[in-house]
Amino acid sequence: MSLKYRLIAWLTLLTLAVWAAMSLVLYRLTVQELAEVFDAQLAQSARTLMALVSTNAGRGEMEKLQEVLGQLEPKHLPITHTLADELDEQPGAYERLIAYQVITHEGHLRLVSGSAPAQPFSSQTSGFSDVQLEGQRWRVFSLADPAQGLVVHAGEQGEIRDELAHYVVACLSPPVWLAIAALVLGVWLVVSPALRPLVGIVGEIKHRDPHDLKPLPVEPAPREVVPLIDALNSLFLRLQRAIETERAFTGDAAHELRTPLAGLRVQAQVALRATTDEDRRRALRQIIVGVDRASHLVEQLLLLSRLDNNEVLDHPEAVDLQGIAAQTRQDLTSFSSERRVEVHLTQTEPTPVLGDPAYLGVLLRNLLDNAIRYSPEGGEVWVELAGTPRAVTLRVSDSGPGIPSPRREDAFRRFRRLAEAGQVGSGLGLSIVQKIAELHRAEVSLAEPPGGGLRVEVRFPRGAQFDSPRSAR
Amino acid sequence: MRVLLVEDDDLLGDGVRAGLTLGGWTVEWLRDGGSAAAALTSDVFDAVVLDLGLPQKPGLAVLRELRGRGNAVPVLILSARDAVGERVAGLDAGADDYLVKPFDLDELGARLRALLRRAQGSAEPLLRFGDLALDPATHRVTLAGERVDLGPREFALLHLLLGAAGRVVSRRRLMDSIYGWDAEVESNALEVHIHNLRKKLPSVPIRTLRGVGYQFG
Repeated sequence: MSLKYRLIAWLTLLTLAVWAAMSLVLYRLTVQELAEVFDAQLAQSARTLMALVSTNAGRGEMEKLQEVLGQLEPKHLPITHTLADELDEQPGAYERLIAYQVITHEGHLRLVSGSAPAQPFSSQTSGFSDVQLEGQRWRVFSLADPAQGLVVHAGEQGEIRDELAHYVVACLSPPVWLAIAALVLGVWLVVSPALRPLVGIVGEIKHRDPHDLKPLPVEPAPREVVPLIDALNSLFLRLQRAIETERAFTGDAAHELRTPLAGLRVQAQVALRATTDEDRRRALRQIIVGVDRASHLVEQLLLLSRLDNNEVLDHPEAVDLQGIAAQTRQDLTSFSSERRVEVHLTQTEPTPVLGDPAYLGVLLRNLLDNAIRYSPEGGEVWVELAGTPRAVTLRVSDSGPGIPSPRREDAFRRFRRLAEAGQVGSGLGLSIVQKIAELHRAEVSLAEPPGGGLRVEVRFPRGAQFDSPRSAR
Repeated sequence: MRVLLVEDDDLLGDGVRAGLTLGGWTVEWLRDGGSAAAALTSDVFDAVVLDLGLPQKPGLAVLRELRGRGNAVPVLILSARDAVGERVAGLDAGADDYLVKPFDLDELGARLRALLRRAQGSAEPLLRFGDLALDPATHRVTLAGERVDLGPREFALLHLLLGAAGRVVSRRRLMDSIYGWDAEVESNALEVHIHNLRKKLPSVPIRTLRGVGYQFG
């Protein structure tokens, strides 16, 4: 649901509720006040009649009084009748709704108004009472004159009070409805422009070019929206960087493929124009080498892009690094013997690491391949595994030219080859190692072992590294 | 003609060397910028094929140094970088041509020949002297319209001498140009080739300057 309609709906509902509660209270107060006014009138009427009756207790006078009172017609209000209309037409109508009875001590009716019922209102001799008589509600005030032995009842139909209260409410209603309508309109008019900056931001984002990751302007936005814009802008920035990295990587990758492709093409042309069988065979063999190298590069690129898409390991398991190291050394035997490099494997204790065996295999293969590749012929490579209670450390040292310390950071950059000429790798090996290490929460560092060369150290923290692989990051 | 190839990629370097050698060039192949810079100070080449992304010293630095010393040897850049900015930077650093990988071996040869031609101050593809004509592209030599069969080294010698017609070319230069660094050559090999040239082209004037070199014309 839109914020705007929610605001309008709630504000309207709230206004209506407050209005309703207030109306109820007002209605109650009106009814109460009316009752008091009517009660006072009723008492007044009774007292006046009592005074008349007391001073004109003689027989003839009483007859005359009866004649006057008798003209007061009973008045039954139909349900549809509204007193308001009646009052507008006949100002005296209300008068007929009051009924009088003068009763002797014995309970005989001495005087009775035309509007009064034929039987006495009540046996009560003083004060107010509510009576149900002949299907009518009556409010009765009773007053006794002990000296004459008479009781005066002044009664008033209950409906009249309700009618009057309704009348008051009816008179007040139209302005109230108008006021409510005005309020709803006002709420609408106020809420809409207040939300306009948000609408503006939405429009700005909606109409953007997908490649446009410029930050949104913070200026016209209300203070409450600024954090949202800030969050969006920081997302844009991260997205921009990710896209730039990706783009640079794609571009670099394309360039990197150009050289092996150029090599293949040239070798193929050499094979075509070679004048001797030996030259042709040699060029063809070179083509095979080149295809292998290009395939390796493509595989490394694919692996790296797959690794880039992973933030965490899916199913880490306990992996025996020692076993993987031994297997990798085995796999690389032909390469190491071709380069006459001896690979030593040492271990102080079992070194299980929590991780992905396939990725850890790739990590070891890259490290070992690099170490063999950059060692001089007849050189030595050491793979050491050591466990402490806090970490498992893998060290791969070679006897190659090493990397001077100012350039070690650079070594992790993609397509960065620091080695001397002669050995051609993909330039991605250390990037892949670092990415796999990251996935295992491990740290990679480069150092120079005693005696020269390069030592790559990968430190896997033990224990809590995969408590919550999914929620991490 | 002797060309210095500076390329760190094994496969490509090997292919270009083999291809250019088949095309009659004498190719010296170096794999890093440092040794290329050293070779360019101590040695004379007819042309240089230079990669940009080199270990030790980037190709552009090698090129700037070379031009800084006033060395005008024709340089063709061979690079995977194809952006206009990169090509402009390469040419502005003193390169005479720029070829983007991957490329055609024939095109590389043709461009190198064009560079040589311009370096020799000639616009004509054929080298001529009197009724002698030499076509560097097809390796055909004609004398008065008659085809003359020359061995590869004899052709290379004639090419070099004809390109420098009127000037003295040192023995060392001629040796390097037709054999390169690696070949083991008998000390009188050059004299044998010159002798053969004179025999096949009796009317062509090749003067011997004893202890110095040879002069054509």
